[in-house]
Amino acid sequence: MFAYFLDDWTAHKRYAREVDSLDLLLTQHGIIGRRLRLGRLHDLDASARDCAASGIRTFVAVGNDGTASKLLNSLLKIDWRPGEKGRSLALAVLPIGEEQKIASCLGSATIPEAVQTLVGRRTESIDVGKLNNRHYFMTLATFPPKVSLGFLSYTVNLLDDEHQVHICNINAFNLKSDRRYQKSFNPQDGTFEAVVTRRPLAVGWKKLFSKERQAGGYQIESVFPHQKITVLSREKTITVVADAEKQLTAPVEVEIEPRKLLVVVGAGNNL
Amino acid sequence: MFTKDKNQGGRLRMEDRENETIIGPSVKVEGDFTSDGNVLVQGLVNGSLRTKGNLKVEVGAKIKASVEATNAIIRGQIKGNIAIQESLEIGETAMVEGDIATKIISIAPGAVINGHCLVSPAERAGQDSAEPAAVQKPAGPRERP
Repeated sequence: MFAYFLDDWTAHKRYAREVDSLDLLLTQHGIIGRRLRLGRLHDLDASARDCAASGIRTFVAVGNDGTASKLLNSLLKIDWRPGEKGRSLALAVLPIGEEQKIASCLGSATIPEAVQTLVGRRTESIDVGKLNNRHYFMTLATFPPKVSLGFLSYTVNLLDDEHQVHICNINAFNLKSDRRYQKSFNPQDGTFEAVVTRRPLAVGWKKLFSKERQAGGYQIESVFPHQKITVLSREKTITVVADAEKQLTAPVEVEIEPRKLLVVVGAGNNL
Repeated sequence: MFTKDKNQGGRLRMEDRENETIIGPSVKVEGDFTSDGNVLVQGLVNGSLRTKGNLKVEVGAKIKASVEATNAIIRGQIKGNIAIQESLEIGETAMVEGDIATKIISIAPGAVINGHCLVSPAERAGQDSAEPAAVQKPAGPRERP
């Protein structure tokens, strides 16, 4: 049985066509379930608890990365562990709107793909990141320049302000074809990667056709696989893009919780 | 990580795809760096560098630290003692200021080394890492009473 958590903004007429096509596909495949709309005053934790108590095992976030992130935190508050008998709550994503990095990684980049993923209900357990004690998929936690990384016994300082720090446990850089990073970015290995990237300046035609731009514009320079990192900054607060943009107080403690979350993945997943 | 390259006459070659930690040219690592996997250094390291895997130091890298690894290829600058458990390849662009202890060594022409070098086939290479390598003096004629 499924529970669909629709973000509030999906009610906007701009997304009406996408929501209609989604309804049609769900009806055709016979996977209609409980529908809940995430309004501003809606208690998501209580709804998730109710759904789990009533025997629902698949929680579907209908929206973007922010919606999936909200639902993830509510799911993890319910005391359960993947793999335990009869307690296998799984999270799926149905993409509507922009910012769909999580859906793409799970092989649900488009609505038809996502519906097929739900029908198949193939699950995988993945690591989940924690930033200052809140859970994130952490496909791409991007920190601004002028930060340094504190590991257990050493620190990493950036020599150039143009560089950016990303912390990710999923291959969000779309670098699967690059043989150098095949062993990195595995969301099931119990570690995440702190990546220092550079955005090369492209001029003229290179702006449109350069390989770096096609790969998201980032060029990876350093990779540090780890389980716990402290991100230090000269500023008191750091604006971080982790699932969605937010402000966090420095220093930011980043941890990984191995195989904490069960997700529904499609054929084209990036795990 | 290391394979024999037929094109290069059977020399040891490190495959890029298996690097787990990459210290790029834009970062500076300070402190005791430890890793269980392979490490590629292109930037600056101050302190100590230890890995249970293999180490590759690229041209342009500057390490001011004691270095320990299983296998290593060095083409950059290292100021500090080097202890390699298996094989060490020092490239023509390498500059090493410190003592070296390893089991197998190959040094390319043009490499600069200032320090003692201990190459022993036994497990001693790893054990002697903390101490500078001993230099055996040539046995001179014994003094007769």
